[in-house]
Amino acid sequence: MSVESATTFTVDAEGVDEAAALIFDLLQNEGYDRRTCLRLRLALDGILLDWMEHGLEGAACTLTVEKRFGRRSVTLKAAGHLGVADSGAAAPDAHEGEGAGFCAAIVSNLGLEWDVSTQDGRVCAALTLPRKQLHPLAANGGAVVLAVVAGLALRFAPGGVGEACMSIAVTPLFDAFVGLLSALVGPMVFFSVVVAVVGAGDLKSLKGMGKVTLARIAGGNFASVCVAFVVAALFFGIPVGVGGAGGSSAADVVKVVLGVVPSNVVQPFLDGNILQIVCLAFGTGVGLLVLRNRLPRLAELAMECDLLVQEVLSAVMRFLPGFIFLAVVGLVGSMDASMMVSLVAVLACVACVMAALAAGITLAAAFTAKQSPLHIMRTAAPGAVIGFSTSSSAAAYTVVQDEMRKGFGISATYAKFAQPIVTAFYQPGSVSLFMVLVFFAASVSQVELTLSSLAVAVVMCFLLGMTAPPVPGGMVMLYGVVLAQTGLGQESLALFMAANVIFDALVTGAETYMRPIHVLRNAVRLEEVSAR
Amino acid sequence: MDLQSVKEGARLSVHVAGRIDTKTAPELEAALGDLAGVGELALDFTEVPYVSSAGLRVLLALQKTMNKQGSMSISHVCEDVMDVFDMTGFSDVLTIVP
Repeated sequence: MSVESATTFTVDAEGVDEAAALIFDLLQNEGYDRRTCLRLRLALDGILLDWMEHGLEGAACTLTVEKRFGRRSVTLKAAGHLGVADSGAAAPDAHEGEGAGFCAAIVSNLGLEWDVSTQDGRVCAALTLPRKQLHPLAANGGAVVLAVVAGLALRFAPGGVGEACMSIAVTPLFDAFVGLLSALVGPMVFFSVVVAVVGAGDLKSLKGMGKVTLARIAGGNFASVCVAFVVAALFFGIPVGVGGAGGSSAADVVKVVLGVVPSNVVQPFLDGNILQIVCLAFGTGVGLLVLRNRLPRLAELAMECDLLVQEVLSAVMRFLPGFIFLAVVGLVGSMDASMMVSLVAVLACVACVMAALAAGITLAAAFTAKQSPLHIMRTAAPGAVIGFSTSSSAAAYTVVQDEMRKGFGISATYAKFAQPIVTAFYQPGSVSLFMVLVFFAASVSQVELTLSSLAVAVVMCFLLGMTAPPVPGGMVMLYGVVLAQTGLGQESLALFMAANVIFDALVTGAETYMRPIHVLRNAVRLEEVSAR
Repeated sequence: MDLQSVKEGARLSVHVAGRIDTKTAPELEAALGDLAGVGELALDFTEVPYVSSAGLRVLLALQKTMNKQGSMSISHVCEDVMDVFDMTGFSDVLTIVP
């Protein structure tokens, strides 16, 4: 543990501001991003304001910044005890109910929590900063570069060392990670659908929402799958033949449709049957909506479970660079010239699909909203750049909100309502990418699909794409499921994993570009756009 | 912190210059303590580089007062202050206009 900075100040208005400014400057100099610096500055002045109003005004306070096990922590120690709010310093009548609770709420909204205790007649508050993380693009890109070097080293290593490393370490670890992700997909899909249905509030709202926003989102996603189908067919050919993988006759389509309803609640998760999981989740969500007034705890429990699954997912996704590393090492270790050609072809195909989707929606919106295509492109471009460079739709959230309201003139009410739904479910890039994966996998494995299994693939891509988490690498966990569900081999998985960094950037950039435009089209229909 | 107010009928426009922090938030609160007869309060934040927790509390109190008797809007919010509003959930409570 090493003390980096210790400052003493008085807990009063001036001291609080100085301490808050000091911590901001310190973190900024350490290279923390601006938002993290702002968060800590607010958290610090929030707790000190609370202390001022609870009997510590005028007390001497020490602000210490130190490093513990590589993580920076901030500690405040003030002489005295916390009491009830001093009437002189407490909020006036206008702030009734916003005293200590207000400061605590501010800190809580910031996603930070002070650990407050009393030691030797002094009040202590400690906060550990999140570990400074590499930019996802840098971490994943770095993993690719390192893996290429390691893969080449293994490939040319003498005496079968490379092969031994592959079979002992690389392949088993890669398979274990794929298994782990596959196990998490079921709960992730289930709870995200349940929470979306319960989030509608009541059956009437669910019906209303379904009529316009959800129906149009589904339509947009389906249209995207169709565009990807056509482009991928141009690149890889249509992999349809008699007696192909996944089924043998058109009757199988009916069988798949009828099989959507699971026989019990456990089997879909054991089989990894996404169609059944979605069906089960929708039924559960509607059930919870009906019972919401009688059993509100059940709906809360579902939401808690969703948060828990998200937590587990985010913990697993921290290992994504390692996973990408394994995928690329395996690929480079066994790659030949034909695979290199395949990689270039699949990247070109994905880029063409994204360009076709973006151009299509721009022209459609120009026609619907009677705004110039150039204006639409200019307005939606900033969010797309953020999405492309960070591979995270969440990072571009506020910019996209501004694009919709200020750029397109969509009413604030509708923009605020539509954005979270559209971010969660309007995934034209992901659904298209899965379609390309199916065509590519069929081409690599030289498998001919039947019409029924191709239809299943279209539905599967459509459904799975909508459940891809909006985080960097969120699609990785679904690649294996797409292949397994369409009866295709896993040969193409490593290649897709390896190129995922580029896919992620392309898909997120395209989706971040398309979402505000999609909302614009909905808003025109609902008359929620001001005249321009 | 410097405040310049212009009252036109029921509309009160206030141009705020400087940080709204623990030290200056009471000044803003005192200056806008009497909003009797004001139906529209427009705060111009062109020159506000930062709003602290104390400042947020004053803004929330003003918003609550104006909810009862009219409306309140904040315009020309810089990126840092917008981030503060977003991170603390205030962007959903306040009316922020370009």
